[in-house]
Amino acid sequence: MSLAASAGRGPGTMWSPTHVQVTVLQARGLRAKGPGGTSDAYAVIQVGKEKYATSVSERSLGAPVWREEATFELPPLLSSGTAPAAAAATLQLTVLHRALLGLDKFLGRAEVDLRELHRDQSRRKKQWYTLKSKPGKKDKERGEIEVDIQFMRNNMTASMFDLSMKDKSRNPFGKLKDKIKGKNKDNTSDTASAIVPSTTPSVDSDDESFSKDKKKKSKIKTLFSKPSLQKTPLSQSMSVLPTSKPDKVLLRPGDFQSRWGDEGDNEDESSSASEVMSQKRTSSTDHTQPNQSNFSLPKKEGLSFLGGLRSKNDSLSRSNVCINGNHVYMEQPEAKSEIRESSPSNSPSPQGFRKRHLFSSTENLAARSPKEPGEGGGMSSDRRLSDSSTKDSMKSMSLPSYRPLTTADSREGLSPANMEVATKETKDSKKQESKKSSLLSLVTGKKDVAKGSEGEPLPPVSEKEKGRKGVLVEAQLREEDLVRRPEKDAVPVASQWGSSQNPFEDAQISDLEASVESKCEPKPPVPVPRTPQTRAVKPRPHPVKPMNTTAPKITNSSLGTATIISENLINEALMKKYQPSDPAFAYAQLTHDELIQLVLKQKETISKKEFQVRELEDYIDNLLVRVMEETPNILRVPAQTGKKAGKM
Amino acid sequence: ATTPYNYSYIFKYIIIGDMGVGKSCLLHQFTEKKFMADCPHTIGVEFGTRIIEVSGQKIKLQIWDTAGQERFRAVTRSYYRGAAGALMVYDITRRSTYNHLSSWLTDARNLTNPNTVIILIGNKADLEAQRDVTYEEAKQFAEENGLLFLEASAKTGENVEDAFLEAAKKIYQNIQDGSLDLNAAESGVQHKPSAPQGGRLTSEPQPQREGCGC
Repeated sequence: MSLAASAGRGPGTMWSPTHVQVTVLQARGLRAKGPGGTSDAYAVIQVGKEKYATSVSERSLGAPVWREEATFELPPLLSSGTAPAAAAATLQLTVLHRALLGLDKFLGRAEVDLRELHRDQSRRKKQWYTLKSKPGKKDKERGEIEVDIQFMRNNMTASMFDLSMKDKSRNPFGKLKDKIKGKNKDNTSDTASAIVPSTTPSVDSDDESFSKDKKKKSKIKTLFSKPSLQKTPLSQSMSVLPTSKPDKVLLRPGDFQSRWGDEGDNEDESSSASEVMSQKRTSSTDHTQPNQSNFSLPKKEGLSFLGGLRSKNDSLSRSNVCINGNHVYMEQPEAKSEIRESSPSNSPSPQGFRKRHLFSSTENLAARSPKEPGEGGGMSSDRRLSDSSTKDSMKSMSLPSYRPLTTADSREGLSPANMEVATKETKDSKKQESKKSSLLSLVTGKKDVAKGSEGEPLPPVSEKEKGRKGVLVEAQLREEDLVRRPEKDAVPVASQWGSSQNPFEDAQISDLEASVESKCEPKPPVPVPRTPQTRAVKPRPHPVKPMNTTAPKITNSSLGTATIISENLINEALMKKYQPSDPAFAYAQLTHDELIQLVLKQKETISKKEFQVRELEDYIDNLLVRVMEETPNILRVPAQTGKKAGKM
Repeated sequence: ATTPYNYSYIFKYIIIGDMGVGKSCLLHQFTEKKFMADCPHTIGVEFGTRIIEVSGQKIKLQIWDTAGQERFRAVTRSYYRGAAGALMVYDITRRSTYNHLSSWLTDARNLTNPNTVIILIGNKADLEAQRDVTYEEAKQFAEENGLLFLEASAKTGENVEDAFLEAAKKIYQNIQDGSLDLNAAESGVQHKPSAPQGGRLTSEPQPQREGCGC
């Protein structure tokens, strides 16, 4: 503050901040949306297109405490004194309740005009803001949120990486982003700071961690290139919600789970964000919706990539955990339907599997080259299909990330032995992993989405994406997609055939299918041989996220490959410690982030179970009352030998 | 059992208290005269019956036992409703169970009728070495709140019989002096004038099973 004051007064203040660091401290007086007057509250902070979410403060009694920060790059306009677009200079705070089922619930929102705040000369301001209802809705008492806003120059301290910004031009604020992008490339100023620890750790977060810890992922690296950013402690906790990571799909399992549930939020969000959101939302939507039908469909064909994934899962179901760190977090209830689909349990020969994965991984690494890396001989069938499909997919697929995910899924589905292979691969291609994970998340999300998001009109997005993707995607695709697509494409076909000689293939196929489906979904128009299958799923174009980052990534990717390879080796070494038969084997290969994700997933599962138990208890409760009042004799303890055992 | 009813009254009892204080064991000890060493914890609701004699009157005690008062809210309401007697149990070896008595008492007062006789029972009196709550303080608590009080042991059977009997005597006394209106909907007492069509037949279980030994 002193600085600001000293600087002088007036809108055209002397110092022009380049960044604003927003720390969401806490909220109070929130409405209770959860059981027992509690809420699982989290806050979404957004400036322009940039958006971050805090972790979920579970069971908060109306007064969650987050203390999580995000740093946003300020539009130059602000600093220069010209009038920036209001939206670009407005800090939007949205508090949501993470719903276990369905859309997250809106708890309140507040807007802070950063221009005004800056005009006030204060460099830093900690203040409570009253939460309001969505625009157009009657105001209720929604409590307030305390936020610390600090203007800064040269934000070297950004705690979080901004994944979202780089490439999207979709947003109305595209211009701003472009500027930002330029900066990022040069300065590596990552303004980001996302906080999305919520339900399931976001893929992004994982990536971040990776980059920090391992620097495996080249693409990611580019984003996070700044060391300072990596250092920031918060970064882990935050994930960029709307992100468009260059390589990876942004979707995270957590996202799907409906963090963004409220419609109002979507509106507010930038277009790119909205797309993502929609996907997420859809995912969160009820299972009952038609989309689910896909899941339930016994036929693989009918299933979208999701189904494919599940099938994999089924085989692997015992070990939900995945390989490579791409664990598949199986989605609980739906799994059953998946099982049907699942290809006959394969006892895949781990070795063969490994080889494959290795190939793929290597290919992935090589992915830069547009060529399709021929996969193992076993893949031949796949290849046939793949050729035609790949082209289409290339065009259609804007999101390379999906593919990786699919592959990851397949791996996961495989037996533990497979896991090893997968791990190798993952290590090699951390990028892929991230993608995979994103894919996984996407898949899961899609499932959810499909279920829940019938009502949502997503189709248009897909087309848009296509256009965008067309440009951006190509680069990405070349690298990653090319390599994998052939496999994937081929795989889907095989899966359709229904019988894959190799269990591994099946798994892959399922993955491929999933990927294909996912691809198809976003771009329904593209005529892909598998389209019929995909169509069922199609409704959700969301899966394709706006992955705009292309060029920068590529450069990074090259570097990343080397690192990845080394990592793979390391991972292999580590992995050997566990016998495939060892239950721990599946987990041994997981990265820290993955484990965290797994834990979060488990927690979510548990909370769902608890909810189910609660429902059952309520039912029993009412039933008992009726019995007590109408036929109490039923409850009488048997006179002679009690029901209870253990009499002396 | 030649007549429709071999008792004149039915008293509804409830047993309340923290988990693990021995509610079910008290019931079992009273109805079966046995101690369940490893009594599984009660999940739902059940009751036991036994006929006792007070002042020459045969009285059937219908003793309800439940658990999960936290989870079964509706049951809990129904459980408390119409209780003529309540056994409020704590474990003399666990002070926390004693400390929770005031909340149990509040529930009992709020959910039963004013004439409900409440008897405080300090269970596990056989575990003297592990005693964590003195007799004196519990006795004082009981007196301050107008409760009957006994220390008992479901394991040895000590005072178990008396606990149920003391409460029954008090209830019967209330009936005799008119302070307990048998016609009140929730008195928790049914009078069976030796004829099947006794006065207020609520939803109370019919006694036809008496002596059937199943």
